[in-house]
Parts: sequence; C-alpha cells; structure tokens
Amino acid sequence: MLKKIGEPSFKFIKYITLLWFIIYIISPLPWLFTNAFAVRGASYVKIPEEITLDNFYRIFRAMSPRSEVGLMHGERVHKWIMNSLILALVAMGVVLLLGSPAGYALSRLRFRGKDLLMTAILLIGFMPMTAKMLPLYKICLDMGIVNNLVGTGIVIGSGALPFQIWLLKAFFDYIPDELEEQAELFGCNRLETLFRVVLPSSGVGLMASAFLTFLSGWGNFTTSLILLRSERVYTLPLGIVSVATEIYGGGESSINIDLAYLSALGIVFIIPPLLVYLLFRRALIGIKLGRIAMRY
Amino acid sequence: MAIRFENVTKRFGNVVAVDNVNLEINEGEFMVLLGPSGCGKTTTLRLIAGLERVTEGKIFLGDELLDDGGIRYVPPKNRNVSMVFQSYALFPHLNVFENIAFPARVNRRPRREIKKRVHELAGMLGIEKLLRRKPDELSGGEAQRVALARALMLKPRVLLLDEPLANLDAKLRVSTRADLKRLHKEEFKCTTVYVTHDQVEALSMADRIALMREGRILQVGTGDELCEKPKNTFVASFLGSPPMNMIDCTFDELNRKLDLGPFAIEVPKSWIEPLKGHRELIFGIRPGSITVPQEEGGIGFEVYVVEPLVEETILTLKREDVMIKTIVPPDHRFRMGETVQVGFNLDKAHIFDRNTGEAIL
Amino acid sequence: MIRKLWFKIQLYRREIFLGLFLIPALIPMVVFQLYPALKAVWFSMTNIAIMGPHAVDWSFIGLKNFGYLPRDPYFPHSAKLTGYYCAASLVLRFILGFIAALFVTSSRSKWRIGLTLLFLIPYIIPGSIKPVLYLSLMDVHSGLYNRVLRALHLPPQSWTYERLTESLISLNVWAGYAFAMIILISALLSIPKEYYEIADIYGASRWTKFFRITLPLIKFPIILCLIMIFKEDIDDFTYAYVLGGGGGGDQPINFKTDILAVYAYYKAFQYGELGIGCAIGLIVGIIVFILTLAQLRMGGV
Repeated sequence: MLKKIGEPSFKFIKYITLLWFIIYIISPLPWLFTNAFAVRGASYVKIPEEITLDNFYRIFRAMSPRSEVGLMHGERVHKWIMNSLILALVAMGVVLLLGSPAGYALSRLRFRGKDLLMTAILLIGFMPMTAKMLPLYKICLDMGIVNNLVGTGIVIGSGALPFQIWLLKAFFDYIPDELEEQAELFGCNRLETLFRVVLPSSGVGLMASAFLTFLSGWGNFTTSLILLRSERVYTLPLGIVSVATEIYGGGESSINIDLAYLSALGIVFIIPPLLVYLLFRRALIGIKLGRIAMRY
Repeated sequence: MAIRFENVTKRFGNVVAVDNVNLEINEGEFMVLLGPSGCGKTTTLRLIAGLERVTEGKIFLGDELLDDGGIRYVPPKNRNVSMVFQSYALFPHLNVFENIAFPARVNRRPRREIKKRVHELAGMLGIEKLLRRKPDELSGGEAQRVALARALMLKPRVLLLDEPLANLDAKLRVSTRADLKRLHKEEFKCTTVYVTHDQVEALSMADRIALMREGRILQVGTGDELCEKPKNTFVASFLGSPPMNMIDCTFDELNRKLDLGPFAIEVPKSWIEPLKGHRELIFGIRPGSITVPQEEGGIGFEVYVVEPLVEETILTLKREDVMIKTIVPPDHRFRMGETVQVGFNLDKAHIFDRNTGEAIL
Repeated sequence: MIRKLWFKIQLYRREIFLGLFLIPALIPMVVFQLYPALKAVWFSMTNIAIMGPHAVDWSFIGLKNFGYLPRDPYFPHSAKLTGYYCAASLVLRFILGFIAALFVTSSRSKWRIGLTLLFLIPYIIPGSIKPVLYLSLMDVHSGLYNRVLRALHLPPQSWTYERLTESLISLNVWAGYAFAMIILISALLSIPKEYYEIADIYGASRWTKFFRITLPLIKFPIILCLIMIFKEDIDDFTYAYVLGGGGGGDQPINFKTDILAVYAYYKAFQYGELGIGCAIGLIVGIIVFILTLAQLRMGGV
C-alpha cells in the first residue's frame, strides 16, 4: 500500500476526489449513448422519453443527416464500414503473416547485431507521423496506391509492425527452447515443430497481436486521411469526421444539428471492435497457457 | 550397443565445456554423470542427444558414428534417443495423453498402437488417472512421470535424464529415486544416462558414475570404487556426507611418522615404500573410519560441535588447529567441550600428494 | 573449396532458415516507414508541390524552405500555438495521470484492475471518435457543457470559437492522461513495499514518504514519461484537425487549433506546397528523434 489507510479525513478527501475523477472520465460517454437512440433533432442529457432506433435505420437506409438538402453521406455509411473492415483486416494480415515469423526469428536467432536491429526496428516505429505523412503521400502517389484500400491497409500494417514485432518477440521468448528441442528429438522436422508446437503455444500472443492491429486499422485516421482522398473509399472514421464537421462546421451557430444521427454513427463505429474482442475472448479463455512445464 | 566418446571436445566460443573426454557406456547400464554446476555434464548429455555438435572428436552409438565434428552428423531424430529436461518441457497446449502420444503421432504410428502404448506406459508409471489433464494442472511429481512416459513412447535405445529430480521437494525426491531405479531395472531396460550434481542420487541409483569437473572426467567407476579408491582429492571429498576429512601433513621418513601438526601417526610398514620421496601430503579419512571413543592408544580431541541428527550424530572434533568430523550412533551422548580419545582406521585412510591432489594410497 | 562452403551452409542451416523469416517483415517497414522519413529530408529541401507547375518540374533549393518559414504568415503562430499546446498538455496529462496512478496503487488489489480499466476508458476509445464527441459536447446551443452551465446559472462559453484552444487541450488531456498513468503505475508498483514499512516503523508522515521515498525512486520513469508524452503531443494531428473544422473552408488557417502537424498538412494539400510541408514535418521529426535518442539512452523503451 502506498498510503496509510486510516485517518478518516484523508480517506474522505481521497474518495471525494476519486468520485469527481470518475465523473470527469466517463461523463462524455452516456451522452453518446443516450443520443444515439433519441429522436432526430433532439439531444438529451438524461434518458430520453422516446427511444427509437430511427437513427440507425436512417444510417443504413442511406439517408442523410439533413432532411433535404445536403451531401448524401447516408448512402455511404455501409460502404464506410466495409472499407474500414478491409483496412483493418489487411493490416491484421500483414502483421500476422509477416510480423509473427519475424518475431519468432528475432526470438530464436542469436547474432551480434541483434540488439542493434531490435533498436533500429523500434526507432522506425517511433518516427513521427508529421514527418512521414507528406512524403508517404508522394511515394504512394507515384506507386499508384493512393485511394487503394488494400494498399493503405498494407501501409497501416507496416506502421503497426515495429511494435507488434517487439510484442510478438516477447511472446515467443516466453516459450522455452526446450519445447522445440523435445519436438526435434521426437522426430519433428522444422516445419512440423513450428506448426505442432510453436504455433499452438503462442496462440494467445498471436491473437492479442491480431486484435491490437485490427483495432488500430479500424480506428486509423491520419494515414487514411492522407491516402484515401476520394469519398468513395472513405473509411468509417473519415466518414464520421466529415459528417461531424459538416454539422458543426458552422462555428458558432449551428441550429438544426442532428446529434442523434452522429451519435448513432459513433455507436456503429464502436460495436464491431467490441464484437471482435468478445469473439477473441472466448477463444482466449479456451487456450490456457498456464505454466509451461516450469514446476517451481 | 554402447555409447563411446573418443577424445570429444566441445567449445562455445572461447569456453571449453567438454575437454577431451573419453567415455564408454555399456549397453543397458545406468550411468550417472556427476559433478558440480558448470562441469560439462549437461553439455555431454546434449552431445549424446545430438542437440549440440562436437567441436573435435567422435561419438559412437554402437557401431554407428554419430558425430565427428566435420561432415558426419546424425541429427537427433535419427538417433532414437530420448531426453527428459529438467523443466520437463511438457507441451502446454496438449493434455497428458497427447503429450505422451506426441512422439508416436509425429512418426505416424497407427492410432490403435498409440493408444495401447500410452495406456501401457501410464500404468507402468502410475499416471492413468491423469490422462485427460493439462500440464498446468499437474504437480511436480506427476509432470515428471508424464515426461518420462513421453520419453519412453518410442522405446528409445538411450534414455537421457537431465537432473529430473531437481524440481521435486526433498521427500518426493527420495521416493522417486527408488522408483526410477526399479523401473530402470525391470521395465525400461535401455541404456540410461543421468545427469546430477547430487552425490546421494548418484550413489543410490548408478551402475557406474562418471565424476566430471571443468569439462574433464576425473574418474569413472562404480560408486564403491569412487568412494573407496578415489583418484584425487576432488573425487574423495565430493562423495560422502559429511565429506572426507582432509588434513595437511608431512611425511617423516626417518621416524616413520606422519606429522599432522598437533599429533603424529605411526606409519604402517606397507606405506613406507609408496610414500618414499614424498614430503607434503594430505591425510584423508572418512568420518565413518574414525573411532570415538577409542579404547586404547587414542589421541585426545576436544568435542567442538555436536549435531544430533536422526540416524546419527555428527561430532566436530578439534585439536589445536586440526578439525575433523566423525559420525557416531545416535544414542552415544557427548557434550561440547568434553575431551575424547580418537582412533583412526588406517586401513581405510588415504594419502594424497598435497601439490597434485593425486592419490598415493 | 565448394565442399567447405557446403559444410558451412549445413552448419548454419538453422540460421539461414530463420533469417528468411525475418526479411519479409523488414521490406514493408523500410518502404513505408523508413523511406518516407528519409525522403522528408530530401523533399524539404526542394520546391516540390502537389499541383501546379512544381508538381512535375521541381528542383533542389537547399535550405530555402527553412529560411522562408519564419517569414511565413502563419508558421510562427502555429509554432507558438504548438508550444502552448504541448506545454499545457504535458503538465496536465502528467499530473492527472499521476493522480490516477496513485489512486490505483493505493487501492486494494481487487479494486485495482477495475479501477485501471475505468481510468483507461478515455484512452481506449478510438481516436477519431473523441474529437467528434467533443464537438457535440461543445456545441454552443445544444452541447452538454453549455447546458450544464446554464442549469447552474453560469454563463455559457463559446467552446467552439473563443475557447477552442483550451477545448483542444482539454480533449487531449482527457484522452491521454491514461498513458502517463500506465507508465506511472508500473513505476510505482516496482518500489518494494519494504521501504515504506521501514519508514512506518520510524514514524514517517505520508508526505515524507512521498517526497523522500516515492519520488526519488521513480525519477527515471517520470522523465521517460514526460519525454514520451511530449513526443506524442508534438506529433498530434487528429484532434486538432477535427476540432479545427477538418480541412474545409476558405480560412487560411484556424488560429486556435492549427498546430504544426495540421499546418504542415494544409501547406501541402491546401496550398499544394509539399516541400514546405515536409520542411515543417522535418522540424517536428528532428525534435522527436532527439527526444527518442534521449529516451533510449535512459534505458527505457
């Protein structure tokens, strides 16, 4: 314990502060939820009197936030979702297919420049977006990748690679060499060892890595902004921001806001990662890594 | 079929782990590689398994050359040797049944045969009830048995064990020792090479012991041979608990006496020839070969420390700057500070050259 | 001769096999991460543009771009704004994070995980949602903040105009304090509790324990934490971009929110001046690079 429990006055202060803190943290969230289910045009602080799924209906039925005139964003929403999905899956694929072998190799290889290589990889991961983003655009333009979802997915995946490789290496480090030596003694060739022993044991780590990458691809903003310039390849974050700035872009005066629509979009945005997380959790619980034969 | 090491050396960079080792292990024998940490015993084991390659020298399994440090190298999976690691290395994603079955599955044995053999081994080792469990649900002793069963699945020619008892608590260690020995004699019947640093384990289980130090083999022989005819001071003091008493002494050729400092011992006739020419020596005598109290003609020592154990009592005796330990039956009572008469059984004594450590007698 | 080579290959078979695993991952990293960073150096010294004559016909102009920047109408302002933003964010994120970390570490173990997750919520929500959420909260008429203020009979503020910069900082702090919290929690937990127990035996007060034991022992993690927060903030794009109205409009610049990263973006895509944008990016890049070296030197990751 860091502080002495006791001294009722301190405890009181502490809990009051904690309460305010918690209010501070989560206060924006109920706002999001209550409004998503509200009637168009209204915005509620408390639970609304009329709950409706109208907003979600409107989103998917391709209606726009403004009743008449206005950009037809509505019809794009399911496309945005598809696009985001593609991005996230491609990025995840890049990390799993390229990153896990790399993590494994870095875990098992021993050579003089290894630490240097690991540091170099880390440095690459630390490069600031501000410096990279503009040349990245030019490079991708010349490569013809701009407005290409798969290409952008690969770029996002390559951005996630440095940290994921570190993460995966750590996971593989945790699996002792002796497991592989046992497999070798029992007659496995290298591929068999990998698929029968290493992969199953590292399942947890791989899934964690896949999930994190999926998340970062799903929620990616800056790279998609740079590389996906045409509205038809917009992803969900880009779409939501475009709707939001259209609604609120008027500076001071913005009457006629369709907060409900926007909130509904927000919910739509958050749900898929949550679903994926729940899916992964069931799988994760199924695989207990446990103590790998270390009995002390 | 025997295992033979011919001038085997293994280097890791500048470090010599195994230094010009020559060793012969007989078919069906239980050979123990004994020695302190870092003496090269585990490396030797791994060389037999093929997990390491020799730097120089040759390793033979029967007539087959396994490794010659050059072109010839038989990889582990073709050697039909099995190894149990200190950590057991059970596959965490498989249950016990699948763990044991693993070697056979890799070699594509028919399902029925696998099932039969797994049950056979489980019965032999008393783990039938655990077959559906996962490794992280097993206790230390259970995990070890599973590892053993897995190692025996394919009826290997050679079984290699790397400190398998190290992770068990003391009591379990004692009972498992006996079990292992019995199992080896009656069931396994394969050549077994066992690595440990615990001399009690070695003495109780081995047919022969190879005592290693700093990459070299100091002496190979049965437990009796190593105890009663140690070749040097290291071997002599490694085996035995409490260890052999080593007292510096000088040989007085003129008076036929061994001068141990505070007292002297008369040298029997048979000793004079071998000791001729030597001067600085070490007198070695095991605690069990010291008689207390000596009826007549004994040398006076002060009882310095009394350690009453269950099966025996250990006395530390002191005379000026010479301290020795002896064991006496538990019912003999001694008090600290008491003076006792001590006798030395010279038939069981050893003499070592102080400079080389080599045994003379 | 060839036999010797063959033998060497056999000996290192395993290493070669593993090496092949490594290479494919390095390729996209180098191409899409390292190469652009290096190109930034090159482009920043040219007059390349997105459209117009310089899109095709551009040339090396040395450090002219960097010389131009101080004279640029908006760059000095953007730089100052960035400084203000980073400083305020740094202090607030750190302090809040520290307080949160103290809350977590001084709770019983069973509450800790729940509390940590709770505190992590603003950090975990996807980054693009947060500014959008804030926009809706800040709206002058129907946003939550002003409605609460009106309910309390306090004057509603112009969050989206007058106080936009403060809103931006507030968003960044709300979203990012958990980052500091995580680092500090692990730093705090690494102090063996025996130190505190000895202090208790000698009757030390709460504050003494904090200033004499806790702070000195986590000096390094604190410095690391500050460096990392700063690196994040100076590179921030999304929040500023969205709160500033997201790339539309005829304004040359949104004075309240266009920190360096956003300004560089505008320079490139709105004005088309890619070279200058890269120059700005490079400045940020160099700052971050130096900080990263300092960070690695301190042994942290």
